Order: sequence, then C-alpha cells, then structure tokens
Amino acid sequence: MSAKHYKDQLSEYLDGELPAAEAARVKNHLSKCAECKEDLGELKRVAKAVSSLPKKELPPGFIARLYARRRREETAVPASQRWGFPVSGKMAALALTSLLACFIFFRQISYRMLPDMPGAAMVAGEADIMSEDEIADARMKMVAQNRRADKTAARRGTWSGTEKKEQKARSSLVASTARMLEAGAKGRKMKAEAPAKKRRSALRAGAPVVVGKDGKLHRKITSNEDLRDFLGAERDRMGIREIIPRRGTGPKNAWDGIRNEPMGRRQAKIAMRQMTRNLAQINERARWNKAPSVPIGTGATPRILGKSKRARSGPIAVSGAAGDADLSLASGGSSAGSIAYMRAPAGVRALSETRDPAPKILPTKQDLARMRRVPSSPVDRPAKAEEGAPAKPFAWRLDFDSAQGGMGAVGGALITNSADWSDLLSRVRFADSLPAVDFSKELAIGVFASRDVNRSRRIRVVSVSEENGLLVVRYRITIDAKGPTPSAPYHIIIIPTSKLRPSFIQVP
Amino acid sequence: MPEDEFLEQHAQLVYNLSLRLVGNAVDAEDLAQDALIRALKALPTFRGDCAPRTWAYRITVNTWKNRVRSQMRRGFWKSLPLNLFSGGDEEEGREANLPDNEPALDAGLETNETARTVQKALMTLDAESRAVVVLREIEGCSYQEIAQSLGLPEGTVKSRLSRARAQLKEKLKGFVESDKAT
Repeated sequence: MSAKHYKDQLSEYLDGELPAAEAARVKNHLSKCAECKEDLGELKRVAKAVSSLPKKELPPGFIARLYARRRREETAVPASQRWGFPVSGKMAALALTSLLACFIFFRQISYRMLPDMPGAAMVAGEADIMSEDEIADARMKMVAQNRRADKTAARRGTWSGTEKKEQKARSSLVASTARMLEAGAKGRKMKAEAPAKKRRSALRAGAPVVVGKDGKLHRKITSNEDLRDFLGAERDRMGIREIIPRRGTGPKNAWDGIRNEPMGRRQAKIAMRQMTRNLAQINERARWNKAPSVPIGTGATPRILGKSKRARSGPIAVSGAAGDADLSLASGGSSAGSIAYMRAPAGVRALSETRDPAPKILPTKQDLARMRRVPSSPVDRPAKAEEGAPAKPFAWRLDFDSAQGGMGAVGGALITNSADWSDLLSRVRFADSLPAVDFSKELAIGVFASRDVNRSRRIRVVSVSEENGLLVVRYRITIDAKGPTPSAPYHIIIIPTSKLRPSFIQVP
Repeated sequence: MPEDEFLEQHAQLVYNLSLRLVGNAVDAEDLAQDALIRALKALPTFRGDCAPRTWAYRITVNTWKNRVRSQMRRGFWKSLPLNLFSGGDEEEGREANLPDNEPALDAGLETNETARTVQKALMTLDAESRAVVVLREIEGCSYQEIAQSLGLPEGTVKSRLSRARAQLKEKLKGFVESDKAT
C-alpha cells in the first residue's frame, strides 16, 4: 500500500465495500489529498458512464426463437451418435494419436523369424554373400531366438502349449528358411562376378523359384524384403499369432530435441510434430517394457483364429433334425478340447450377414418346442428322451459378462481346457486375473452377440440344462435402457462338466 | 421454478448481460439463447444455493467464456494457412496483424455517442474483467454475487474491478473529461 495515497482502495471505497476503519482512513485522506480526490471523481464518472448504458428490451420474437431452437437441439442427433460411438474432441484426438502411435509401432516391428543377421547382411554390399559358417551361425541364432520367443509366449500364457501342430510347422519353417538362405547364398555366389547394378536389379525382381539340391522347388530369397514378405506370408498361412517388436532407443522425454527458446508459429508447429513423434516412441517403449510380445489381432478387429478358416468353409454339423432352427456345434465338439465356434447351419446365411440375426433364427416358442421334440437317429446321440421329461438344469458357480470387449461376432463357445480358456480370456480382453477353472470337473460356456454400434446390449445365459441328450444353453439378448453406446457383449459361465453336445438357443 | 416464470424474470437480464459482453445484437441473441437453453435444461437440478439471478449470470458468463475460448482456437487454426506460405521472418509481423478475436461492435447498437464510446472501451477489456465490470456497473451486483457468478474468489473480483476501472479511466480519459466540462 502506498504510504501517501490510497489509489488501490478507491474502487472499493466507491462501492462501499471497504471495512469501516479502512473507509474512515480513506475518507480522511481524501479530504487532504487533491490527487486522490480527483482520481475518485474520475472513477465515479467512469462508473456512471458504464452504468448509464441503456437497458435493451428483448428483440421481438426472442422467446419464440428460443423455444424453436431448443426443440431443434433436442431432436437433432448429436455428432457423437451420428458416428455411432461417443466422440468428444479429446476422444478423437486420443484416437488419432493412438492410431499414429500404432502406425509407428507396427512399422517398427520386426518379425521374430527374422534375426538381425542374414537379411540385413544380404543387402549390405560387400557382405551380401554369406559364407557357410555364417549361414550356420545365422541358422543357430534363428532357432535360438525362436525358442526364446516360444518360452516367453508360453510363460505369458498367450501361446497355448497344445498347439503342437503349429509349433511343428514353425520349426519346419525355420529349417526351410535356413535352407533357402543357403540356396540363395549359393545362387548368389555363382553370380558374384555380375556387375553390381545388375545384381541390385535382380534383388528387386522378387523371389524366383529355383530347383534345389533335393530336386524340390525352393524360393530363392535374395533380399531382405523378399525374406520379410515370405515370412509374412508363411506367418499368415500358419496363423502364427506372435510377433515381437524389437526394442529401439528413442527420445528420453517429449521435449527431447526441442530447443527451449521462443519460437515463431512455424517452428512451434514443427516442434509440436516432433513432440508427437517423441510421445509415440515413448509409448512404444513403455509398451515394450510392459509386454515384450504382442499378439496379432489385439487391435481394432478381433479375429477368430485357429480352426476358424476350415470351420467357416466346411459343412457344418447340424444337431437335430430340426436343425435349421438352432445354432449347432461346428466340427471338433467338446471332447476335442478346442474352442468350437457355433455357426449357423448351411442355408442360414443371415447369421453372418445381418447385425443381429439370432432372433430371426430362433424367435418363436414353436421353434423351441420343435427343438425339444428333436428325435434324431444318429449313433452318437442318446435315445430320445421322453416327451416332457424333466430337464436337468445346471447351476453355474461363476459367471461374468460385459457389454464391451466381446468378439463382435455371434456365437457360443464351449471351453474344456485351460489353454483355450486363457485364449478366450485374452480375446474378450478380460484383464483381471484368470478365474481358476478345474477342467477335469468343470467347463466354461461363452455366448457372444454381434457388435452393435447403435445400441448398448447385453447377452446373458438364462439357463443351461440337459435336454434330449443335448446341453441346451438358453441365452437372452437385452437392450440396455441406458442408451446408445456401441457394444459387443458376451457372457461366460462355468458349469459342472458334461460330455453332451451343446446347443444354443436364444430366448425372447 | 417453472420455465415460463424463469424466462419471464431472467431472459432480459441474460440478454442484456450478453449484449454488453459480446457488443453486438446478433451474437448477443445467440449467446443469450444458448445460455437460456442450458439454464432451462439445468433448471430441475437448480438447488437454490444462490439467487436465481446469480445462477443465470453464472451460466451466461460460462457459456460466453467457452465461446471465447473456442473462437480463439478457431482463430488460431484459421490463421495457420497464412503462415504456411510466408517466410519465417514475416511471422512476427503477421502475428501482430492477426484480426482481433472480438466481434466488431455493432454500429446500430448504440444510438447515442456516449453509449457507443463506453461500449467500445468495454470491449477493449479482457474477458474476465469485462464480465466483472458489466456485472458490477450495469447489473449492480454485489462483490459476493459477482464472485459467485464468475466462480472467482472475492479478493480477485475486487482487484479485477479496480484494475478494469483504472483501464477504463484511461480509455475514457478525454471523454469523461469533456463530459465533466459540459
């Protein structure tokens, strides 16, 4: 406070908001100080000038326009719903950033099949021809690397130990790749005298097929790209799910490489871009540190892997004569110990084509009655149960469901071993610790509804019972009253084990 | 409180506040309607822990602040393409020439010279100070009401008001002087 003047208090004094003692002091001062008095006078005039601004009447039709606008806003579909999922600015920004991060992330992934050595060496000029020793060395490295990766995956539980077939195929791939490297190197050796230019164009010409020493056809891989393409194709062919990103060095923090000084707008833009890159790389590193191997398909589109390809194309066993009315088990069955995804019987194409076809397949009570009547002859089915025989219900000891995180495809699943169990849980993104299931005494049943971007839905198993020699799982899809949020619901229950074939019925 | 009653009592207050905040009739109506629609939506949950008038002011000021903020953002992005084609050295100069984010003062709004000058001076204040001055001088709110309306501590309101008045005094210097002379 100024010792001489009370200029800072004048505003409050004018409004009569000063405490009494202070106000008295100011008043006393004002009587002596012409300068402050003048200031106060000016403030008063300013206050008066502002407060004398005229009050305006509402413009004509204001209230009517207000109500009209309100009606418009209430009936308009918000932007978030138009897109089918809730988008706020922040969400969109986050999605965009993560997309960018994913892009960078996946670009930097190197296949675990590809060791640093052979491919990299092949395109590196002088070192492009490998000696026998080098090839042997590379092969050993490759095998060791794969073994390590297998162990990691097995430890994490994402790689089921029962997939012997795949592993076998994988190791044979390693061997054949190494063979091809060898063949390639030999081929290259013969051409060692060719001009460098010609060699390089040969590198780009793709991977020619050559006849190997064993008389069989081999792909001659002569460049890093070829090798990568080949391995990628092999990986897809065999449905290998694991790829391991290589760890890289990156920025220390978001500000890395950005000078701490005033910038023009253009420099700021460049700096922002740099920061986005930094953040993406930091995210990638963090992700690596957290989970060194990344299952394919954990991204935006969960895929049904494993047997699905064959099961999809092949004929589908229909349980029961009234088969066109139920979803029945694809090949495999409960005893095979694999997740068997339920499919619509042949002819019911709607299952895979409409958003929620299940109600169309089994909507009526007549269908349920027909289902119960199923008197079928196949050998593997027990004799027809008495009409009206009491159904043996199963109680479940544990269940969990969610409107989110399902596979986004219609289906039911019967899980009878722990490998499939962990596989299933990783697919439905059940992040908590696995519920323990003793598969010698229990089995798990999952039901999934299709992805629905317009409504929030739930799917719940209503009952499980033994009927007519079938394990009949009745489920219900309900629409959450809560409103329009996208959903991919599922429900998983655990019941005492049963050798019966499951049949899934939707109830209204 | 029924909606009709609320509108009857507060629509004009909100409109006038909007008018002084944004400085032109078109934007003022837009802002006032936006604020009133929000208020009507929130009316069932209004607990009455402050006067309805204060509550209406608060909603209006918040709506306005959001607009100012998004206008600033838009202004920033709009100005980017210009810079894309300009050399690095020009940037500082261009920065200074960026159009003011405040909408132009409506020439038809004030019919008399005094009011026009005062409104012009008001528009030179920053958003928060303008709100404080308008609530105090035009709407006659107490410091406490202003603090509630703007979600600021009372001490901040006092200092803002004092500073804003000093600024206005400078802006209107010749004007109030001549006013005094007459």
